[in-house]
Amino acid sequence: MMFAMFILAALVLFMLAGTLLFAGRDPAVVFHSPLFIILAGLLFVSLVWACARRRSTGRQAAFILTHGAIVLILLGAALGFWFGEKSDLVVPVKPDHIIRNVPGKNLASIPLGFGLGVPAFRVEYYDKKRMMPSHFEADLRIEDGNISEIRVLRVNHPVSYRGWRIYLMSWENDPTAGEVLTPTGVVLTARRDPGRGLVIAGIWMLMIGVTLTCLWKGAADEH
Amino acid sequence: MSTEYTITVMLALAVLDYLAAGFALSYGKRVPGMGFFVLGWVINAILLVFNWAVCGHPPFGNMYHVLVVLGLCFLPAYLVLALREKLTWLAAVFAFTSVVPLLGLFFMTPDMAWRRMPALQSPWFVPHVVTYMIGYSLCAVAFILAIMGMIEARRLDENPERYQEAGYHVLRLAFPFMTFGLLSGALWAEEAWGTYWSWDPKETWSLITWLLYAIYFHCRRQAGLKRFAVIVQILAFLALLTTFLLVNLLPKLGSILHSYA
Repeated sequence: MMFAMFILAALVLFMLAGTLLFAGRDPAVVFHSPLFIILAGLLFVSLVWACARRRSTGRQAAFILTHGAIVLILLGAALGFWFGEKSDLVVPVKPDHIIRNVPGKNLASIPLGFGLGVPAFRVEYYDKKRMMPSHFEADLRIEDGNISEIRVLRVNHPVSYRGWRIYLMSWENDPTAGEVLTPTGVVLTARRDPGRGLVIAGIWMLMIGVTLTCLWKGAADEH
Repeated sequence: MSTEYTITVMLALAVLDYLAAGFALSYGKRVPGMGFFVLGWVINAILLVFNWAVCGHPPFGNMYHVLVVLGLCFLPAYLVLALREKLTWLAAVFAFTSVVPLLGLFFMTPDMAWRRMPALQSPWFVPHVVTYMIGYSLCAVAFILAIMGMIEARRLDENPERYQEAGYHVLRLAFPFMTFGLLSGALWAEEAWGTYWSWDPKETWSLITWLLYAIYFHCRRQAGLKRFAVIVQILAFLALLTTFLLVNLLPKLGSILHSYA
């Protein structure tokens, strides 16, 4: 346990340095650095070792659930970090405009494997003058061989297709239209994350595991 | 009667009731003390309902609304601990602590114009905020107990450890709520922004807070480190204050993604 606590303390100090000394800079400089990844790897090893040492009794189940959950989250996050794809793009709001590639890192182009378009976009405002939107959504056209379908894309409701998840982030108005707000393009994020399932499973396991460990008196492993 | 005047009157009544409860309970007047505590809570709840009615959305989206919610967390949390852990003697601590978030409201302008942005229109919105507020309220009580324990230890009190033990039981209730708040935020972020974790200041500080409380629990269970647990707990609470207040208030620590929190 001492090694685990050392790792946790090191992570806390690293994060403190990251937020205080590098405030305002790209977080990836700190949290995607080799040293941080090594610390996360050491945490992974420590947790796997801690779970492997436990007997599978009822009292230890909560421990294994809690610590094993973090193992899953780290594993899923690693898969997403090394093998995932993420792209931020602007798609024009046009009935016949279809894209088949999205911009990747270093100006690379990532093929989607299908066509994507935004034939229509709708926005409602609480206060149009102050640009306070109450709701906005886009029609997302997906073309894949003989398949052509329209799905409605909303904030907090991404569209999933062939391993990709498409998120609606924002939109752009025509800058030449003056006071008349005319949406001309939607800002999307496209993400393909092979580790997503593991991370979600780990998150739910961690919620349940911590609850059991803290609230179930039989799970308390007092020394 | 203007809206601001109504809010100020309700706030004052709630604060006075919580204070009266704290003093009554401190002097062993349990029945009137709990009566004042419940009355203050009811007025606090009416204020929440009032905020909800005025802005037309669940009022959890800015600091003003969140402090009202925070004030409501203490009485239910105390009742759970009193029933589950028999920590009935903590009533005065919970009552006095209820005053703190409401006092802050006197120095803030009620944001009645707040509107729920599309990014906040998610089923995760209310659970994420409410569970965090429950967790934070319990952590605040545990912090006060830690300070009281340190003061009592200096005064050679008969049993200063009872404060640390009580704080431990309070934090055992707090940590699952804090964990749910943290992780529901990650699930929500993935649905809204396409990524569970962006390492923005709010997220990073909330993870620092969570890890420090995790270290606290590990200290409690490791022979030889138990005496350091209270120090870790104090550091964790300072990190909590940074997460909850400083990240919002200091531009350099500011978070763009969480700009509405």
